[in-house]
Amino acid sequence: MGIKCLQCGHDNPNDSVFCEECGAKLQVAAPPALPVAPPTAPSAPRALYKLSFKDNTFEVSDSSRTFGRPDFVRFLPEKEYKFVSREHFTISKDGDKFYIRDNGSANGTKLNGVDIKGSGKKELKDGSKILVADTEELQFNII
Amino acid sequence: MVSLDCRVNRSHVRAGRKDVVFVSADAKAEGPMREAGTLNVCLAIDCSGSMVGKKFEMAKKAALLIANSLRPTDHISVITFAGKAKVAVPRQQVGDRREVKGKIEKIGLGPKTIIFGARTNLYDGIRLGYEELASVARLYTARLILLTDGEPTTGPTSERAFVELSEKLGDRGVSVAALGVGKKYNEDLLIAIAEASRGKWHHVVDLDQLPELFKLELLDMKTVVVVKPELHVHMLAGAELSNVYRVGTMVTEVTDYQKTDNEYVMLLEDIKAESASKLVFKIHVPPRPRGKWKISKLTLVAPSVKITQDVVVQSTSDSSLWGAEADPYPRTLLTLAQATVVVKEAIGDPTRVRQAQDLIETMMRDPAAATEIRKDPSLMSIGNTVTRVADTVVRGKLTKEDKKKLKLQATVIR
Repeated sequence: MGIKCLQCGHDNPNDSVFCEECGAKLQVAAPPALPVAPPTAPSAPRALYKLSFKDNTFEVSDSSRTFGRPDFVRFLPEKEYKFVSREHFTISKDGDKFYIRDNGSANGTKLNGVDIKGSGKKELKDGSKILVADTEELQFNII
Repeated sequence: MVSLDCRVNRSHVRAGRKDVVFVSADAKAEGPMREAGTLNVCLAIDCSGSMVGKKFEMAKKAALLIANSLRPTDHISVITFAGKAKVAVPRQQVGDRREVKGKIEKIGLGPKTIIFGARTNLYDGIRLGYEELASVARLYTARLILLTDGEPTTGPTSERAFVELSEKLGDRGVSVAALGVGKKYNEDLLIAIAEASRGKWHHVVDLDQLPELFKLELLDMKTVVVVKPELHVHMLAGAELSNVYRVGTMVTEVTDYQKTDNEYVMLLEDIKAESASKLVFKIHVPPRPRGKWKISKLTLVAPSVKITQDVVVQSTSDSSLWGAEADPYPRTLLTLAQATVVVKEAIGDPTRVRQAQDLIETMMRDPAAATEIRKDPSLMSIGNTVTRVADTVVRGKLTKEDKKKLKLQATVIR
C-alpha cells in the first residue's frame, strides 16, 4: 500500500512526500482549498451598480459601459435575446449620478415604463426598471 | 546588467531512487535603465476589402503616431497586403519624419495606389516585413507589428507555414506583435505566429485604442535590454528534462528546444527592464547514491552575456530531509503555467478547463504553494487571471467574441 499521486496516479512508497514520477507534492489528508486571491484583494475594482433580471445579476464596476446582445446571449433563450441590439444601451456615471441612454436600438428601451429611445441620457435612480426591447425587464440598483 | 536567478524546489532527494525536482530560471535586467538602443519597426497592415473604413483609417492614424514617436535614428518600414503584399514605405531612418509621414499619408489614396482587394495574403505580408527588417535586425531591437482582420486566403495559409516563417523571424531576433481586429480573423493563427517569434497576440476590442496599442508596442520595445536570450541546460548523465514552460508576456509550453547529448538549448522572451523573463521545467533525477550531485548547469547566453549557475541536490536516506521543500516557487510557477496553457487551448471545452481548475485547486490546498502565490505579485496575477477565465468558461454559454476576450486574458499576462 503506497501513496497514490492525485496528479499522475503513480503509487509511491509510504514514506514519500513528493511523487517520484511527476514531482507533485503528495496529499495525505486534503485540507480545504484556499482561493487564489484573498477575499479582500485590493486590486478587485469595486462594483458600482447591479442590474438584475430573472435569476441573473450583472455587477458592474465600469463607470461607462454599453450593454447589448452579447451580454444577454448567455442568459436568455434565442427568441428573447434576438430582439436586443448589439449595442443596445449605455449606462454611465457622472459625479454621483447614473444615466442611461438608448443607443438607437431597433426595439427600444423603456425606463420605468417611458420610452427613452432618441431622447438622450436619462437619470437612473436606485430601483429603476429598465425594459429592454419590450422583452427583458432589468432592475437597476446602486451598490 | 543582467542577472540569472535559478531556483530548485528541493535541496534533498531520496538516495538510490529516481526523483523529480522543479527548476526555475528567472532572467532580469539589473541596474539603472539605459537609453534604449536603436529601434527597427515594421508595420504590416492588412488592406483587404474588409478593412475599408474606420479600421483602415485608425490603422493609418496608428502608423502616423509611430512615425511621430520614433527617434530620428530609428528605422521604420510599412508593408500593405491584400491579394499581394507590397512595400509601402521601404525601411529607412525616420529622420525629420516629413518624408516617412508623407508616404504613410499616401497609402490607400489616389487611383494608382489603391491596394484594397478581396484576398488576404498574410504570409507575404509577414515575409516582406521580415525582409525589410532583416537587413539590420541583428543590430537593433526589431519588431513586426502585424494588423489583420481576416483569415489568410491566398499564398501559404497553413498554420505550419506561418509557424516556420515566424520561427525564422524569432531566430533573427524579430518578435511579432500580432494584432487582430474584428470578429473574423483567426486568433489561433495569430497566437501561433506570436508564440513562434516570442512576441505577443492582441485582440483589439475597441478600434479607437489602436493608435494607443501601437504606441505601447513601441514603449515595450524601448524597455528591451537583451534580445533573444538563450538558456543552455547541461544535464547530469541520466537526468532528463520535461514540461518546459516559458513565462513572460505570454505563457507558452516550449517544445522546440534543441537537444544535443546532455545539453538542451531553449529561448527566453527578450529581457526587459522591470519584468523577469522566465523558464521553468522539471528535472527527472536518476537514482544516485548518497552525496551531493550537480544535476544541472544552467547558462544564460546572449550577446555580451554569459551567466552560469549550478543546480545541486543532495541524495540522502534521511526522510526528514527529502520530505522538505526548500523553495516552493518553481513548483508553483510550473503548475500555474501548466494550468494557463490548458485554459488557453481549451476555452471552448469546459471539461478540460475544469482539469486546469483542479490543478490549481489541488495546489492551493498546499499551504506552501498558497503562501508563495500570495507573496509574489507575478504568480498572483497569473493565478488570478487563469482562475477568473476558467470560472467564466465553466459557467458556459460564450459568444465567439467572449471567447476571444477570454483567450486574450489567458494568453497575455499583465
